[in-house]
Amino acid sequence: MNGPGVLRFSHGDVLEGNFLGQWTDGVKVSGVLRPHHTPPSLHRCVKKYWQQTDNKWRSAFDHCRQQLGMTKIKDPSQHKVWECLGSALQAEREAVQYFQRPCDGLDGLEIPPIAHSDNCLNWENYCTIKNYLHKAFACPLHPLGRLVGCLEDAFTDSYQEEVSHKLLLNAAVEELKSFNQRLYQIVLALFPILPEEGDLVDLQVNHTNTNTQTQSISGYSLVQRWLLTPQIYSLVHHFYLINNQERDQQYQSRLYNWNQHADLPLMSFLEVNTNFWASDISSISDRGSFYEGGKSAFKEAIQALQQIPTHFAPTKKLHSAVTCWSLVRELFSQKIKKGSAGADEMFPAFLFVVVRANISHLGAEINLIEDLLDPLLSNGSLGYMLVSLKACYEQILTEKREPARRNINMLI
Amino acid sequence: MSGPGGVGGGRSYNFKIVLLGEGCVGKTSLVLRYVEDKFNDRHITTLQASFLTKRVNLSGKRVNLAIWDTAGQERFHALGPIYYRESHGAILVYDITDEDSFQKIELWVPEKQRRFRRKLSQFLIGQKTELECLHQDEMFILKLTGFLFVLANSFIHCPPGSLNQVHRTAAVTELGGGGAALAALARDGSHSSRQTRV
Repeated sequence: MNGPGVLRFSHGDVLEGNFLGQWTDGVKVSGVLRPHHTPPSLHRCVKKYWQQTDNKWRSAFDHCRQQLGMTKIKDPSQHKVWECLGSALQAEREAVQYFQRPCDGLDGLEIPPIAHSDNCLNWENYCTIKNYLHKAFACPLHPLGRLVGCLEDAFTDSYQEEVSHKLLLNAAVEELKSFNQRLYQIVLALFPILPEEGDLVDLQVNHTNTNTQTQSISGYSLVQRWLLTPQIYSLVHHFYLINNQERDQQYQSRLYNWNQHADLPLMSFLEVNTNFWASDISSISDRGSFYEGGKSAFKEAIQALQQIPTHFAPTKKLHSAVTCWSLVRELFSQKIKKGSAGADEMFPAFLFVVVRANISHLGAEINLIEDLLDPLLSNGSLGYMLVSLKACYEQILTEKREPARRNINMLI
Repeated sequence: MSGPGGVGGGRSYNFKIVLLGEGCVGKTSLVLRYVEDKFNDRHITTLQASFLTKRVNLSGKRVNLAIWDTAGQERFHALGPIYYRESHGAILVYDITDEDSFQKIELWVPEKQRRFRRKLSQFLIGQKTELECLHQDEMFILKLTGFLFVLANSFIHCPPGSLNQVHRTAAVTELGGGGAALAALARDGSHSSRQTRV
């Protein structure tokens, strides 16, 4: 053989170049070898010990289902489930009294918060259910609280911080998703009124004639907030931190440079509509506060955005972003009388807020939200916020220009 | 992509439509006006104007449209793909008094074609089969396809007198893969959703 060609190896490496000679005598090659990097698969490494994600910690779930009478009969009625719950709680109470330990938070948990006959979900009974679940998950004697406690132990034992490795991230996320689904099935048996898995329900939040706000409710994200306990969250978060280390470092150094600049030069660099801060300039004579004008106007929005890392549940994180966006929009309608708050105006202002909010591991936060957010919500307003945050992050990382130098001198 | 949902039975279909185009060509006012004109029960979201949702009824099927606005400034062009990932349609907007904005649309189009057009037409075909399986209601499918097309297309067909009010904006559409056949479908299928005359 004689001429250019490509030799592909079964393990993925590719040799591209000029080949000369016979297979039997050996082939002379001048070319480039491109090794193929397949990320080692965890599944392949521990195939022998691999457990299907949906089977993991099954006994913990089974115990809870048994307490609620869900194992003996297939699809027991809601009435039956609550009856079993009542007797399970009674047994717990007696046991606790026997050992003379306090049984805090158990009171009233055996009583269904809404009538079984209620078959239309609205904002009021949704909130009632949420309150009940909040108490139930917080109480270690309630089957749900006990189950989450069990899962927390299992999860922290499996993925301790000392052994956390990028490879384990997928497995951990899959496991968490599976927990979430299985947990919701149990909650659904207690409250069949809640949306089926895979369904979104829009509930009207307030009933004024002019302004109807709706919130999309998914069962998956309803349960998620209690599954992401501080221990579980900190482990998962740690995974994302190590996974995004490099990009987050680049992002941080970018932000460090940008945040050296005063508000005005930074805003003009980001092409924020001048009207956002124009009125501040005329009223402020002092030079120092002149440059801080923008920051004070955006202060609330910045604070709202800084709430993102303090929440555990992806929906709550995104709600902080929604609050931030609507604060910027309010500012827009105050300062800029005409025009509409479209993305042309809003995005640069939001980008400014993201820069100033200086969230240290925004990349990790975004990836975490992306992986754990219920996919059903990704087309709605929360999805829009996630994409906007992502767009800001990418913009900060890829921006080729730098804010003008002379403005720093002006400040000094 | 369809998302089931809603209380009390009945599925609804969710569509994500992205607005693309240069900055200040009036993307937002166009859609705001469009939404206000066409629908009485304008839906208010917290992200208002950048993110609009609209519910329409087509043959008794609920369709939720989510209209996503994007920043058009040149430096944000690279962010386009992040926005139109997993979307079902896009509306390309330019200013008819600004030739530059029309030229720039070419910048959006090839990229969109490359990454997205194939997927878009795939959606229409895929969605059609999926819906057929679910409902065997061909009329609904025709109306749905037509509606998405009209939604974008009627901007082009709006009468000259209304141009001032839509900020002299015109739109080129890539929705529905284009083509006269679809436009015809739209005309027959969903006259209820045609643009109202100003």
